[in-house]
Amino acid sequence: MKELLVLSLAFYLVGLIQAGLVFLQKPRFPFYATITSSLAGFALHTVALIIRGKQVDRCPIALQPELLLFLGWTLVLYYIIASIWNRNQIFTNYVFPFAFLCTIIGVLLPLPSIAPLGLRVGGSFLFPIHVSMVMFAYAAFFITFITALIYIFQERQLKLKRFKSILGRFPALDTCDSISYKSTSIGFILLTIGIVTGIIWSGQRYGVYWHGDPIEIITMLIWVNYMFMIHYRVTAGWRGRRAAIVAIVGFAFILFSLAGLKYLGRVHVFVG
Amino acid sequence: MSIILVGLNHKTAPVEVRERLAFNETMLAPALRGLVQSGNVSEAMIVSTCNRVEIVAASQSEPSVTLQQVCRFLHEFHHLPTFIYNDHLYTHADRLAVRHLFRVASSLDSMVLGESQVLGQVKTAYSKAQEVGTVGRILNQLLNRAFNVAKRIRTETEIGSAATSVSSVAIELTKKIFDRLDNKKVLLVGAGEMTELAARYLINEGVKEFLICNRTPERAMELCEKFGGEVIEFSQLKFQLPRADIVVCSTGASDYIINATDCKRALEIRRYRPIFFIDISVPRNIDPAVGKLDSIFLFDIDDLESVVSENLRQRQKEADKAETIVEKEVEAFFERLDVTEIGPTIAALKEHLTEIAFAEFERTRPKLGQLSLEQEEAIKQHLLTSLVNKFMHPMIMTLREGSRNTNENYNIVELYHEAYNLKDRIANFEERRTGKDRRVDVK
Repeated sequence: MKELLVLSLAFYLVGLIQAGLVFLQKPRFPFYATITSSLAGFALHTVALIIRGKQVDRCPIALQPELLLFLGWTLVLYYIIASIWNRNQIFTNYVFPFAFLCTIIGVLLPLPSIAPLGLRVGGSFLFPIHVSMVMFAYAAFFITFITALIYIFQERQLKLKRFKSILGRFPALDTCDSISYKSTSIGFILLTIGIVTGIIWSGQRYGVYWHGDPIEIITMLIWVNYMFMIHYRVTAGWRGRRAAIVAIVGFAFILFSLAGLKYLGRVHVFVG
Repeated sequence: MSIILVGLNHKTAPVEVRERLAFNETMLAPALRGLVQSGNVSEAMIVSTCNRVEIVAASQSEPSVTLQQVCRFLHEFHHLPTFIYNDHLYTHADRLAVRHLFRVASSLDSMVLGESQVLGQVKTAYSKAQEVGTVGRILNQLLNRAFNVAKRIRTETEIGSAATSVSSVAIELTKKIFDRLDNKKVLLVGAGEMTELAARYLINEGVKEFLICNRTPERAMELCEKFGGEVIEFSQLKFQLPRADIVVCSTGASDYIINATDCKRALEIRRYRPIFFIDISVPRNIDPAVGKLDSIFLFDIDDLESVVSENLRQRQKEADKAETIVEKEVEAFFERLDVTEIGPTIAALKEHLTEIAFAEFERTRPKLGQLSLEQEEAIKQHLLTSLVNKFMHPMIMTLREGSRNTNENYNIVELYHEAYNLKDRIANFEERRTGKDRRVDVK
């Protein structure tokens, strides 16, 4: 399985280099070259995830490296769909390095071949829906985060009148803003579905809906954060820089829940 | 054979001189015909624009003779005393002429370095000359090469990439903020020349809706008729501000006419959708404090001009790279030109000599006794062929040299044709080649 992933990373290199070329404003690879190689990488990536699922006989999105691999997979999926949708949108290229990063970290982290305690979760279809929805939501928020970074950097440069560093390199501010709004809304809906299915699943399995473990708490914080972001956009016209800051804060929570929570003791219901 | 170029441009001649030597649309055809009929100019082309007049000609005689002829033609055609333009004229022959043409086509010789218009102008001039029928083998090659060079320079250097006028820089910055402009509303404050120019640029980018505000409504009405849109009373300016996505301001007012309080209000009404202000008036008409607000981007004339001068500096840097490309291409052009001209001669000569060598070998063959297949091969492939090549080497050299410096009395290529009786052979080549082409076409 690792070999497949390494191979798919090799295919992803093309997209990664393309992102660099866009950033450096050098002549780019033709569209079909990047799209074919990312499709090839994506296919291998998918097969690897399926093999992993067969190996451990459960939904392969539960452990940290698995989550990262799935997140990377989702971002590549976004890249493929978005770049077929609109070839000229240069933003899509900037998603790729992050997809690559998620995948490579997922590959590098040690992957236990035996499922830890309590992870024999087969039976209910709710568990895979719960995890994949949350992960899809995180991928959407990842995209919001990237637009926020680009927005803030560009806005800063424009205000300081340093035009050279940004001209032609990044998408327009209002493009960033509209991609951000769309992905946040989609992410928010998915996260809501993910949380609700998680609660129902927990109730079915353990008879308890809310365990109060760190992951649950932080996920609720994330949910509140993005709700806040959407709410203020609609009511008070928070967009642009302010929205970008909220998006970055929200994403910090997500990173923390993906990476940092291991160190906070009992992690999430099924792991504990 | 020689290629020459006679011309004058914005650097060497003032407009009073340029306009008197210019060839307008109707003069071009007679001028081109006149050129090729005068003396022994065999091919000619004229590029005549507001910044330059360039006459490119090819002939079989010495460059100096051709240059004289073209200058005389210029004098006779325009009926001008030579003292008017003689000091402004430049004349180039061969390498320098080709180099100059390449530089013109690649916009290295333009007023605004790297602009793209001049290539189009050269192309038009070329197709005009094709139409009249005054271009032949040499100029066809030369111009195709020139277009390639221009294309190569455009892709390999960044000479044409950055905007070099205040208006185009403003447009570029607008596009950093708004992805598309066709659904944006533009408020023009002041109805002078500058705002009109800006409006034209914006229309080019797809802007459809204008709000026009001027102290004297008559002038605003005038612009309104030109571009469509809505006239706003000057006193209503700050109340209309929330409707605008882009504000272009250029008035003669001596004070700020848009201040931060107005903008704050406007932003609240707009729910913080961004506004882009361009203040091209001096003294400035928009309070610089406006630019500090969130979601507002304000640029004044200095900001835009600093980008322009930075871009021009950048282009200058890129121009150095382009010059190197031009030098290389000039060399490449002459090498290929020589080869194409003497190519058939060399091939025919080689065939002729090889035939003789092989025939002699066959004649002596019986006397050589028993030879293995390898030995026979070695004699044919190595000994005879390399002998022919060695014999030919000085001939090729003299041909090459001679083809560059031909004059009317002495043509080395012709001499070879006669001495070795190559004419039929070359004609035969030509036939075979076109025959092959035809077959390819059918496929």
